[in-house]
Amino acid sequence: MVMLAYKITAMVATQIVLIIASFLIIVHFESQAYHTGNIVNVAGKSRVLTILVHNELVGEMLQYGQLRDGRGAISALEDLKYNILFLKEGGIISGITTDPLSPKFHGEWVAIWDKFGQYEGLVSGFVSVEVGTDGNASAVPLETRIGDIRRTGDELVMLSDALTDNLGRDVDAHSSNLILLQVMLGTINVAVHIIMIILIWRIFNRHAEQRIRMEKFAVLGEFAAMMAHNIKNPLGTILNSATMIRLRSNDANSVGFASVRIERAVRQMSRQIDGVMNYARDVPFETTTESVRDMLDRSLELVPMPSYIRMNLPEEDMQVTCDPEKMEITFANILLNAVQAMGDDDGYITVRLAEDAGDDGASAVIVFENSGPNIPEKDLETIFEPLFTTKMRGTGLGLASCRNIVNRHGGSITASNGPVRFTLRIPRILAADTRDEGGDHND
Amino acid sequence: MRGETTMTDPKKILVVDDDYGFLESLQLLLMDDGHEVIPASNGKEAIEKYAEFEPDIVLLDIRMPGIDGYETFLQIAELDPGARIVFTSAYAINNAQYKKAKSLSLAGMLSKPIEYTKLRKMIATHARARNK
Repeated sequence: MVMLAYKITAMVATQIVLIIASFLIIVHFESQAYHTGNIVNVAGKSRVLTILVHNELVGEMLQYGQLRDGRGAISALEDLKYNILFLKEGGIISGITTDPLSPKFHGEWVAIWDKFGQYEGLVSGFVSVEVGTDGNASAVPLETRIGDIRRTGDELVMLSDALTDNLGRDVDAHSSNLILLQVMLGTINVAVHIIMIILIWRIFNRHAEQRIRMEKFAVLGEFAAMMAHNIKNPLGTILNSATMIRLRSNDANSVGFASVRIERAVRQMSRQIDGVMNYARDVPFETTTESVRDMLDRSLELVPMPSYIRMNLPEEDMQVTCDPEKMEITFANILLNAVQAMGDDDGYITVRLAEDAGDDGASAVIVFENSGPNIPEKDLETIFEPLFTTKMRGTGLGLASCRNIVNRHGGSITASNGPVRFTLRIPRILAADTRDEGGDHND
Repeated sequence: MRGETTMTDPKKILVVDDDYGFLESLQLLLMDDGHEVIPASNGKEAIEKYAEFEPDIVLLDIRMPGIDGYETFLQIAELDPGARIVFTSAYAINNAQYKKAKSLSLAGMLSKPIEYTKLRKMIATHARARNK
């Protein structure tokens, strides 16, 4: 559940980062394009200013018949100079930001600057002569001098126009790159979003499958608990009555034997229910010190053993602290599994008992070996999973119950092949913290 | 098997169960063994009969309508702190109530169907000695 939250948070975070990154990249390139676009305007302004210088000059002369002070032309000339310098350096003018001119246009700019120098010389010379600050009247005719200014101005305009055109083309290229970039980023974003949606959908789907499985199992558990209660009460009545009949029959007559059979059948039914119940619901531990041989004998009473199966029980015995009823269910389950696996073939079941003096205290090692077919290697671990069954009519709870019971005793159960062996390892003294603690997590 | 029929110390036993068939069969079985049996079919009746008869031991079902076994246990324990009570249950739930009962004076627990040998052992071990 926590993992799921982390995964989804990570995915959403990735998407948010991607969206912000895309946005910043686009804003960066947009503003670059915008600044570059401003340069075109600045470059284009040189044309207007050059024409303005000329018009100021000629206009004043036409209006007054002579140049009175030439201030309009000089002022326009200053503006033009500032504009050309601004074009190269960039900066902020009237709130509009312009980047410095790209080095690849520096050559063209230098040509403009030189031409401007020439033009500035001609205009300021003309003004100082005509306004009279120079003192020396020019020998060159007025028409010729104005013609020189106009021609130089035209050349300056042409150079400015050429740069404006080139800059414009550069901006166009930029814009189409920007569009390409936007399309690419958009596509990447959409693709990532789709992938994320699919991933999240898959996670939720898997989670839902798990939940449904768990719900099914919970329903099964509740059903089992209800069934156990409803069946065990009448079983109790049957057992009480059968015991009473047996005790009253007083002799080993047919009534007495019939009662014994009834009692045995009731025990079998009851243990069968316990097999399911112990998995589905953890019941309290009732621990005593018990003989392994006695528990084995009692568990054999629960399993109908065909005559063609040879049963070899251990000679030795051992006392272990455990819940004997639950241990008997475990033994019976393993024995029943063996009988069912062996089918109708002659064979044997051998139970061995040994002590293992481990580091954490002595354990009883009980090995159930049978001559039945090997368990497929892939199933060796999963056979202890709940609901695992290969039998046509198995509940898939038997071996899961066994593992549950053995684990609660602080022991272990493993299966191996060649020949088929189920090995139980149970601590001889039940650790204090395990005793009576079983099922804490339940209810 | 024959050994089971040897007479035991007769005790006064209160058996509480809402399943009538079970209650009657257990009563007859115990009576055959020489005990005096007081049947009760619910918690309220059990508490009343406990006060009236002062049994040596109580066999108390957990799951009953009305006052359940846990509550009945607590009320009897309050009435008589020395009461000997054994739970009988078709399935035991290891919940907080069971643990609480265990930490108080609960003598033991018998799972249904009850094994006769275990029943006798439980009575022999936990029933109060009869007042002479």
